[in-house]
Amino acid sequence: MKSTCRKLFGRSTFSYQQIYLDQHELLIIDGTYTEELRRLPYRDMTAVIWTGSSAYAIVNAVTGLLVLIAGTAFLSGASTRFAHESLSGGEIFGMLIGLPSLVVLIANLAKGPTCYCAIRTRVQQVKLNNVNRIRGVKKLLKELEPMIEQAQGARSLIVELVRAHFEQAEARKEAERRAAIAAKRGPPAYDPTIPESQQRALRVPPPLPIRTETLPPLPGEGA
Amino acid sequence: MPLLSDTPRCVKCGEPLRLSRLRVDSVSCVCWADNHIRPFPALLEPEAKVADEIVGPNGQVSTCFAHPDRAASSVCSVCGRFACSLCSVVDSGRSLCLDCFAATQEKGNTRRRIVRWDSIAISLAVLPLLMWPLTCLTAPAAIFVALTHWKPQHYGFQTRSLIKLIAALLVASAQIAFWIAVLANMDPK
Repeated sequence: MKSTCRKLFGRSTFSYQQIYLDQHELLIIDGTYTEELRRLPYRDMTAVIWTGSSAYAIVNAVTGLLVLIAGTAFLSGASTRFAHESLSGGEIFGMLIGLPSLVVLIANLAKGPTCYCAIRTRVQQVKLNNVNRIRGVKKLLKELEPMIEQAQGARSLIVELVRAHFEQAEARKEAERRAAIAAKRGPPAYDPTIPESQQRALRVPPPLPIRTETLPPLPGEGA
Repeated sequence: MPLLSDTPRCVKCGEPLRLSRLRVDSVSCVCWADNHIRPFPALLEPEAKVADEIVGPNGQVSTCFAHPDRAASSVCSVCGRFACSLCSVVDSGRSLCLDCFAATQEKGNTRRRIVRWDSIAISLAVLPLLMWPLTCLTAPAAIFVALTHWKPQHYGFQTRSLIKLIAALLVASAQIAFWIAVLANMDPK
């Protein structure tokens, strides 16, 4: 039987994760010597989340600086060398450090900004380690959205619905919290919205002090 | 109504995101990370929709075999038990309960975890080259691993080649040949 699976993301330099698209679920294989397969059904997927990371800027800054230093060393070495001499130290340094840095810089710029990405299902959130570029997230969404919509229905006005639902849920939770605090404290001492006649009924008298000393005997009592 | 515990979490710090503050497609976390989110309808329905076939003629809903307090959302296509959304697994379009899914795993139809013997063999053959005297021990080990696991490993939906095992055999054989040559040329004195 021919498999309907299609590889979406293979292993990358820093991640052994592989992602496959199936007809009913997303398959994630993770691990080096012991691999584990996770199945995420499309009907259970609740969200795809991603956020930008600083790796793109850091790599650009470091490799850019190295290219600048190596370029300067190369040019200064080339300008001080006579025509008959072999390569100077500055030129060798420039080529050994500058060229690889330049390749990494160009590759990083071409791949675009980096990010962290995860898929949320009803029971877990799975981090997608090899979807680490915004371009990769766009590719993932392009492939995944039609599958999820086929399993769950169209996502029109979903953002507004989600916001409204979670506003309600938060309001309900806040009301429950306030009710719990109010029940713990007892009725309020004074509430200007309640009429004065009802305020008296609500007011709780302070507890009577407990007397510990022995009381004198009442007249006609005892000896 | 969704539970707040089901909300998506920040990809950086893992804190639950406040989706009531969702604007267009992004929401800020307490760690200042600007999380972009693409929500799907399942986010608003934590419980899976109850399938038509497990609602009785009077509208009564069947419950999960393992969780009597949860409504069943599917019927196992092997044993016929009702299963809730947590207990049902979709495998190649079939809905299975966890017991039947485990049984199919044991039969080898759908494996969940495999040991990559081909990666182990190639690592045994190549990595010790950094400390080459070790290869007199690791090369026979690599050949042993490669020959005892001479079979492509896969999960049923992949096709994996034997290329790593072949490479491990070739590299390890070359190392053994090198050691034989060294021993043969060694001066007996």
